[in-house]
Amino acid sequence: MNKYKLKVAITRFLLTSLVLILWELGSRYNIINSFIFSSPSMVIKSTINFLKDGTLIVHILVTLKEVLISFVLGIIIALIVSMLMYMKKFLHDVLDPFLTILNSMPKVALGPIIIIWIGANNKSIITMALLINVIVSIINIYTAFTNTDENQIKMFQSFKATKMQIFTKLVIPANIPAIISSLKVNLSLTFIGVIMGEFLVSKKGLGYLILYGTQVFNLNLVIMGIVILIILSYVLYDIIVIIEKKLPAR
Amino acid sequence: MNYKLIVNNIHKEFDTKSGSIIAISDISFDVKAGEIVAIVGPSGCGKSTLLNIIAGLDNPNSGNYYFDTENPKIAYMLQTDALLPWKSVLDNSLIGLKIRKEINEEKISKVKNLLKEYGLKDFIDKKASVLSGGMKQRVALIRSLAIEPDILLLDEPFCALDYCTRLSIEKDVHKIIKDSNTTSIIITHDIEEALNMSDRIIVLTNRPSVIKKIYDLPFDDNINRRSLPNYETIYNSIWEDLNE
Ligand SMILES: Nc1ncnc2c1ncn2[C@@H]1O[C@H](COP(=O)(O)OP(=O)(O)OP(=O)(O)O)[C@@H](O)[C@H]1O
Ligand SMILES: [Mg+2]
Repeated sequence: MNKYKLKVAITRFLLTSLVLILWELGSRYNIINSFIFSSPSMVIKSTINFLKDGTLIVHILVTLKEVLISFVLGIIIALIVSMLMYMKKFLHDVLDPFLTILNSMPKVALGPIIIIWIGANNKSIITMALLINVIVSIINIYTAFTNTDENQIKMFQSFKATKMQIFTKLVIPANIPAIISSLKVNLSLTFIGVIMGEFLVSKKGLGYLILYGTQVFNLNLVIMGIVILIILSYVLYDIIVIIEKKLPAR
Repeated sequence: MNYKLIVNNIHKEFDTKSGSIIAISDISFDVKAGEIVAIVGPSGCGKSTLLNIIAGLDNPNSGNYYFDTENPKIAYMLQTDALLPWKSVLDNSLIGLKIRKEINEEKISKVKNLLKEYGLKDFIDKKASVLSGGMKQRVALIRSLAIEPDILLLDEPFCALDYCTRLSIEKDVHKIIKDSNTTSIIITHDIEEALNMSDRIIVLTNRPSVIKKIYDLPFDDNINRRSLPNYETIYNSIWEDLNE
């Protein structure tokens, strides 16, 4: 098995290297237009420059901050709302159709209105990200809650457990894996929301950098932005996976 | 005779899309302290419904039931063990005590002793998910008995187990219940199980159900019941009750 894993890893590495090498060679020998396709070495060079003058770090931190705030807020709101919906059937029955409608509508369409209402600042960006991540998280977590094993609930009830005891001692721990997997979905939606928001209003952040690079036709900048975004989201995703692996099996 | 539970004229209907259906027509019986009563009956005749009502998880449309105490402690054992796989065997066994806020050192050591006595010594600190089916049911039983219930309700507790596991666990469970002198009602669709484990068998009719017959079993506890002469006669009689 370990040998197999090694084989997989090596193949992945070779595949990536091959793409990078072909890209580099193609652009050096003018097989592809290096002005619009850039090249790995040009991207690296521009990255080093941006790192040196300190602007890149600022852009990364701005985006990271927006992502973390929207992510944490989103999950807290989703947990609270789904808990209330689980505890109070009335609330669920009232909210259910609204959630369905909000879930199916393309939230990005609200972007311009949000900017008018909230202003061209990072509050708009966070609102945008929340709008995109929170609805799905509520639906996912609430659905998981309601799928808690009926027999386990019955067992708790037969011991005269209160609704609160059932929730804290059974529903929450039984659904930790579901909550974690909704964290993953939440994270990728948060990135979509934040970058979308940055495209629309921002003067800083990776989304801004990508948009700016496109406008001035600096493709090195655009690709650098995208690559850093990929690395950033992968690192955050990986943190969730590490937490997930530390949990006891359900 | 001191009764633990008296059930009077329970009647239960369910509202469904196609009108209301009567699950239980009219059922009355009583259970003596320390007695094990088995209830057998055709599928869908309302056995689980009856047990849910006694457990306080459902209400009858009419009729009532009394325990000999004000706030009876009820333990309910279901078809599935309903163990929490992320908790240890010990924590699972203690969950009823924790919910009821009755946990103390003495009770913990009592539960530990029960676990040791019934072959779970090496698993006390293991996660419940590693146990075999028969072991899980034993833990579920110990969890039920930990709260020292006034009555133990068992709804086809072994039907998910294979035949061999079942035979051995029937014996274990019977012994655990008798040793702790716990009043119990056990639902089963297996006539042999009823004959092996109970002091009295109540046979129900098809839905809407009433009591068809009650058998007081003339068996002593410590002998192998299967070899007694009455065993087969009663078995056949119940079999006929159920297949008329
Ligand atoms: N919540 C409910 N709503 C509507 N009908 C129900 C409900 N619970 C039970 N019933 C119906 O009442 C009848 C009795 O059900 P119950 O589960 O008590 O039967 P049972 O004797 O336990 O059957 P089995 O041997 O299959 O476990 C069945 O016809 C069932 O469909
Ligand atoms: Mg049933």
